[in-house]
Amino acid sequence: MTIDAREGLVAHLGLAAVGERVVRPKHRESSRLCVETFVETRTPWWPRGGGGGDKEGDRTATKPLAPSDPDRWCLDMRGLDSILDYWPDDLVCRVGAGITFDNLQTTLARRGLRLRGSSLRPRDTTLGGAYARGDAGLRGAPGDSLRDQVLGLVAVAGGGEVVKAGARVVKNVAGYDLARLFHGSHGAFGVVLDFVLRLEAIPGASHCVALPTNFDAALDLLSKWRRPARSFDPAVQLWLNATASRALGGPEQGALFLMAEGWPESIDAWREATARAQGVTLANEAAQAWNAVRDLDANHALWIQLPASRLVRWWGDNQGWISGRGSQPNLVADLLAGSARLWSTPSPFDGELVAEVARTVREAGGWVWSPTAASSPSPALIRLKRALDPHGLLPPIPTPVLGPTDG
Amino acid sequence: MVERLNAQTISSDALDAQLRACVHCGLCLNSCPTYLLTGDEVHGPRGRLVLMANVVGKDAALDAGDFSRESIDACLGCRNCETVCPSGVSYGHLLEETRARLGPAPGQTNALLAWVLDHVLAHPRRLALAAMLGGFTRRWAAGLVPARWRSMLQALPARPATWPRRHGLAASGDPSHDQALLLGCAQWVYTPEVARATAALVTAAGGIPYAPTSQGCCGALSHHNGSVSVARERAADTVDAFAQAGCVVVPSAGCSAHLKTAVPELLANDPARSAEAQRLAGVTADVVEWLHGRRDRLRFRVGDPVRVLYHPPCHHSHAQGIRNEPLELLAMVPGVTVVQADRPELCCGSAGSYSLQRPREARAIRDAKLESMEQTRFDLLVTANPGCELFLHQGLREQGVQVPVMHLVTFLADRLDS
Amino acid sequence: MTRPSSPLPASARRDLVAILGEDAVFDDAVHRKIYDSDGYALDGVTPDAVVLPRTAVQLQQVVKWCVRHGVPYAARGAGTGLSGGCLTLGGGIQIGTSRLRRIVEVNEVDRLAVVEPGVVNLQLSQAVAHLGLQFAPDPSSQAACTIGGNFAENSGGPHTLKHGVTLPHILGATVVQPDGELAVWGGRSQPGPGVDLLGLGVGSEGTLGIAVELTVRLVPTPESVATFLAVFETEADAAHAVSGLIARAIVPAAMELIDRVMLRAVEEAFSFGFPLDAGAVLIVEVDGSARDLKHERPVVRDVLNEFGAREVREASSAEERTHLWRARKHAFGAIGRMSPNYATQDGVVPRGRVPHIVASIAQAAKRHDVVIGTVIHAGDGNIHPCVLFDERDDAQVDRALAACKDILERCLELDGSPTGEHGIGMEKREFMPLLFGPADLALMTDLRDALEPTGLCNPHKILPGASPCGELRVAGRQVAL
Ligand SMILES: Cc1cc2nc3c(=O)[nH]c(=O)nc-3n(C[C@H](O)[C@H](O)[C@H](O)COP(=O)(O)OP(=O)(O)OC[C@H]3O[C@@H](n4cnc5c(N)ncnc54)[C@H](O)[C@@H]3O)c2cc1C
Ligand code: SF4
Ligand code: SF4
Repeated sequence: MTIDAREGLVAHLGLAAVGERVVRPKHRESSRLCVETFVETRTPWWPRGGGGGDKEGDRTATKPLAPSDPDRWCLDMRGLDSILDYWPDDLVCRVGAGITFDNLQTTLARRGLRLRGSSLRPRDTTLGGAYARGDAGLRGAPGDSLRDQVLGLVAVAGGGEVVKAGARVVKNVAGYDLARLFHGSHGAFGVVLDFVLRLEAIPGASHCVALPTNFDAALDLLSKWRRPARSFDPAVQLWLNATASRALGGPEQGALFLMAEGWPESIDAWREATARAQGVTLANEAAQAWNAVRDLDANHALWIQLPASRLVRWWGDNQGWISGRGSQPNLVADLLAGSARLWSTPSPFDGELVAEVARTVREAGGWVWSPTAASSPSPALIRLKRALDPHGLLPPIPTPVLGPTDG
Repeated sequence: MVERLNAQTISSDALDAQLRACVHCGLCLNSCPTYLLTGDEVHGPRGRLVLMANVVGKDAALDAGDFSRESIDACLGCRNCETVCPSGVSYGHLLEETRARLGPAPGQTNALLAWVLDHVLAHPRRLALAAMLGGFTRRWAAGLVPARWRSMLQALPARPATWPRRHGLAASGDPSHDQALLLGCAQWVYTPEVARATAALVTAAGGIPYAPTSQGCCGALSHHNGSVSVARERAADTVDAFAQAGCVVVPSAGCSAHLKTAVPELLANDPARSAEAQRLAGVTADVVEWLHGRRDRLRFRVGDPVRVLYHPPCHHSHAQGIRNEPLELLAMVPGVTVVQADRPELCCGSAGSYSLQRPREARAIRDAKLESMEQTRFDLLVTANPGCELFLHQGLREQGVQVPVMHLVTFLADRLDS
Repeated sequence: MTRPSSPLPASARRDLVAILGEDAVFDDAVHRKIYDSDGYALDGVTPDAVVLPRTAVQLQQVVKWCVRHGVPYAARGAGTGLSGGCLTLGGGIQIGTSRLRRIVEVNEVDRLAVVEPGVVNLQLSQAVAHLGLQFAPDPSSQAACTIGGNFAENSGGPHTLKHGVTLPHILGATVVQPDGELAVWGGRSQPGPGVDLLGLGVGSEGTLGIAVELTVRLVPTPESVATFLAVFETEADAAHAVSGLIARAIVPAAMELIDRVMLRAVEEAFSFGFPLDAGAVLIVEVDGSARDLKHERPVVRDVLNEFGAREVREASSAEERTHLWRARKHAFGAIGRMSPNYATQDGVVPRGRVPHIVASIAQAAKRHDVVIGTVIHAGDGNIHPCVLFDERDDAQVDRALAACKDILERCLELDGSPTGEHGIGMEKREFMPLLFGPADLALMTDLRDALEPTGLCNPHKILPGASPCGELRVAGRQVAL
């Protein structure tokens, strides 16, 4: 290989777009050319979005998964940040994968529309990044995750070929759904260039409350409300432990954070119901409360997949020793999604603690995902990786801290 | 052979069209008790319709040598599949035609059963005698009976049989006003109170019941069993017995269904009777239907609160579309709470002579039915067909459950405000 | 690759009986005939045998046996599929899940259920109804189809407009992989990080493994429901009203359009009381809390009137609602009575283009001189045109096929898809190259080869190419949807 990646990239995109092992395309075609160049020159690379809530803006959740490889190039997707098509009758749009949540939502809001769901730190998080990390957003009901809003996408796979998956229609079962390959796979198979998204009208009203309560009681309260299951079902149902709650200026013992949306009439009723349950609005404005939660700094969080009823037991059994190790654990549990983020302030968990958390969660029947530790993938996944990234230029496949075979 | 030719009461074109109406969608599968029991599509309606093509269709699905009647024989004939079929496949009709052409199932047990159905059951007095003997044998001399007959003996109702009595009913009445009762065969012998209760309710609702003397079995059981010639004889006798009736009230779901649809078809080629059979079908009402039509005249007394589990007979729900009427009648009785099993529409396994013919499957289906009642608390099990009543009664007793089982009319008559 | 179908050799039978017992291995002529089709009954494919395992372990052992002996196989749920998905194209063993029908667990707090794959869709909803919960996907076949089948086909239904198709309702699957080993896809939580094998598996038509246990989500049943019937002079008006509602921020639970031909058929068969001179009717159902409906009821009425409905009726009781839905659900049964045969299509167009496709269907009917009745899951843009013909008349058959082809091609032109619910299976493989480029198809092939290296797990489906039974004739199926 005579030319190196840099030469090729400069030739295709111009000098301004190419930095120190980083290239910043602005369009679909230039992105494709970048990947083509990486493939031709056999240059290891990784796609990046906004940094996944990282304030410094240059690390991502993807990066630590990549082997520490100084020669690895970064394909910075943040230049693909526009709304490319918009079909108002269908409530569908096509957007560049580098657009941030806030950017997209602000533009859509002018038309009274939105993308259902949001991410932690939506100012920096790009859709492509959130999708690749399998970040469902903060709404856990069926059909509410980002994955469910993606009707189709265009991507470039690791071998350089352009993949067109899905379509503009909301229902489609033709062929294998290649869009799923890029969900949660942390860029191991390629890079998404643009998404076709399903949109919805912004609801007439919303209301957020935080009920001061510990985890057990929060679940009890919810299950009481749910028996029989009600139709008023807050779209966001998070439980924050004391540390996380206090970080927001919320209740001391921890808080059940609920956000309901709907028609004003329904929200009024809901407001009354929560007031009866001693709910306190987190801030004067519901929107502020909501933003406060979204801005929680959950960088380097462990991602725990355990449904609420098991999570409460696990937390009860394990929070003692986790705090005992001199860290300040923050837990944000999404009760609808059955998952939680666990991180430590001020200093991150050490490897030993991560392994111990993973072991206990495994015992409880769940998984732990960490930006820094991973197990080895199954043979089927290895074959899949080889098919999509034949030259092995992309970061490895993300796997849980403890794999299915790691005891 | 005679039987086969006689069986063809409908043109083969029409039958073929009925078969083709099945679009093979499978929506009926989960409503079929034998499929639920086996998980095997050969024992489901869609599979059976494929097999029927060999018997009543124009294009056989299978080589003649490959055809097997087992799946057809194992069908309950409950017609739940027909109720749920969106394409309107006349399953029950196709089944009867198919069975008529195949004739009664082979095998010694079945031959004996066919004989019993055709010659004993059809004559209430003979049946009473046989049943009394049977009860004796079962209790005292089971060991003396050949093994292959024992299971059938076991399947006989666990109730003592009685001699059929007339309960003081007149032998004739005014055709323009009075109600002729068809008292049935097994019902008359095993649950004599049903006849009495029917008479009482009809009277309470402002009718004048009578019971034509020459009546016997309507032939429904023989017909289900594929004994077409016997069924035709019974149909003819029944039509003759009720020749003058202006209104026939039938306290057995199986018999009312038979009178309404099968009898006119069986006699379609009988010049002397076809018109009369048609007419009779038009004036026949199931007792539940008839009472429901006159329910504003019925008054019930306040009794102890009681939870009644109602089991709807297939011959009501699926053969005649009688579904809400029984529940509404029960709900009129002060103190009654009506409950149902999960999936009440499923057959209890009795299914005409099925429980005698295929006792093993019938019991398994009944067990499933009883299991579907386990979650429900009830003090009384009520149904509206003698077969269901006897079979469920027996099942509950075997499980050691002492809940009374009775016919809807028996319960209603007992609660009449006199 | 192509193997003619034949009954099992004695040794194979012996092995399978050893795994499953005598009453679970069937290779007699009757079974092989009856299992030769599913809801798509146009091309029968005779299996070598049918096996009905009672446990997941037995099922896994059967797959392992197949792998050891190089015998192809396919899973079968209730066989209500409409694209021949469960048929063993090129011979092989059908593995039925009809005896795996236990509901293993219902967790009210986490709103999930763990079920065996043969559990029938409606059976699950009924089992959790007392908790105020339901399994949301409701294909019209829900009284019979299995959750395993829903998983494999990513099934939709009238009410998936609001709740989404099957995919978001599946949390996890325990799968017998093609190599015979067990794998767990997903878990008990909303999918997060990690390769989304579950998302790839849902809708893969049983070609990537057989699910032996599924963890599914349950959603609350709505507190109140309101169902409207709006009568329009033209189909176009009705179609425009659909977008009108969406534009007013109403997301109905269901929105179904029934055209003039269908209406007339339904009316003739069942006398529901529909106006015979109407161009189309729209059934709109909204659900939610009582207060939600207080808001939505008048809006729905207004919009329907605004878009030219000449009459808007609301079902005033549960019976009336059931009655209305019966009319809708019996549409195909009714039209089926009008002609000996009919072919149902399953195209999708973007919602805003429903008026275009409605016009194209009318044109196709005219051009090919056939009668077409249509129902549309209008909110999803999912059309089910139903082309009438008589198979005994070759010319009619050709015209009907030509009309079907026109309509599906038009769906593609309108940026749609030839299938929204029923899957590609063996039926629509020929459409794949029209829908996807060579690179996409190559990638799909790679993907299948990576996850299904044996070539035995429901082979020859989905992807075009070497088809063991040559050219497939008809796209479409007689069925009530
Ligand atoms: C009248 C009618 C109406 C219908 N309406 C709708 C509708 O509204 N929406 C809709 O989407 N579909 C509809 N369908 C199509 C069909 O009912 C669905 O595709 C259904 O999900 C199939 O389920 P099944 O159990 O019958 O599966 P089958 O037909 O037996 O199999 C379908 C596919 O699933 C695979 N499969 C089955 N079980 C498993 C398992 N455990 N693991 C892996 N793969 C498995 C099979 O191999 C096959 O590829 C309708 C069909 C009919 C006949
Ligand atoms: S429901 Fe009717 S049409 Fe469908 S398979 Fe059963 S009998 Fe045939
Ligand atoms: S009549 Fe009853 S047993 Fe027979 S096929 Fe129909 S549902 Fe099954």
